[in-house]
Amino acid sequence: MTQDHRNDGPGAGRAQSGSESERLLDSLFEQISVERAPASLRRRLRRIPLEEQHREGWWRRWLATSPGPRWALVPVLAISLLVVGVVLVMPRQPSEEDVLQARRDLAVAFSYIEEAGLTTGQEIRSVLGTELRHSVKDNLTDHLPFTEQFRKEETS
Amino acid sequence: MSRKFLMWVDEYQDQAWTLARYLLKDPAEAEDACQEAFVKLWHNQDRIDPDKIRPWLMRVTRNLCLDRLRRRHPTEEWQEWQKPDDGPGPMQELQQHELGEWLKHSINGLTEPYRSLVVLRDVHQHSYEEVASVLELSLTQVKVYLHRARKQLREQLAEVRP
Repeated sequence: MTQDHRNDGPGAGRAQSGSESERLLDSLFEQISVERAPASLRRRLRRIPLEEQHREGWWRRWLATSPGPRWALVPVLAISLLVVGVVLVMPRQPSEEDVLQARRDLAVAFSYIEEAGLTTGQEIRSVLGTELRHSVKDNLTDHLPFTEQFRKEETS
Repeated sequence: MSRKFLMWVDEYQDQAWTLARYLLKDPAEAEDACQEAFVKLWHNQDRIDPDKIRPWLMRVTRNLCLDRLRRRHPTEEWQEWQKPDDGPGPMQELQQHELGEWLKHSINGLTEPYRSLVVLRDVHQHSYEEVASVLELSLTQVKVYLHRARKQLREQLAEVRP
């Protein structure tokens, strides 16, 4: 990489011309070789791996140290996420005992509803069944027990 | 990974330093630019072809130096930097050992991309192909620009050493 290519291309004109200034320039270039980097820079550059590893997150270090190429981790992570998602979304199958208990609870609930319906029906019939006959010629509110009670409270 | 990186540090730190030194002139800034370039190398080491580390590093170092110069010289000073330096006194008879220093100064006086070209080609002795890769120029452009740069230096040398 560092071989000298100075005698190729347009620069070859220098050699061909053979002028003194050309040769002098070449000799001067040999004098000013690459400068040695100062010790402070050398120290700074050698600290880069430690500093940058410290700065990077744990996951980047994990990625860096994981075997195989990084792109191979992408499908692995995607499949893992998919499995977790499916497990979370999938409906749970109830056990036979759960089903029996649910049926018992439903039966009790329906019996309560039925009982309440019957009681309410009887109450409506007993109140409205006889009183509605009088409502044809009188004010209906006069024949309802709760309105009587209400009137008493107002006058007292 | 660190071992490979430290190997590159050992191998290329002097070249990156020399290039930054010529471009920025200020040693402290040159150190910062070099460090920045190597930090970029650390973060991109897996993405770079190992055979092209040196041109990549030189290109990044140069671009960082030019960015710093633009920030440092937003208007007039940037244009000033684009102009060549005056160089040492004309028609002054110089000794051979002084001519080395004269040449460094003259290289600093070249405009871009001539300065980078001379540093990479004549000081670092990179191949034409590598210089073209660093400067993102065609091979023909590299040869033509280098010819012009050296012509400028020869003319200045002729003034110093008539």
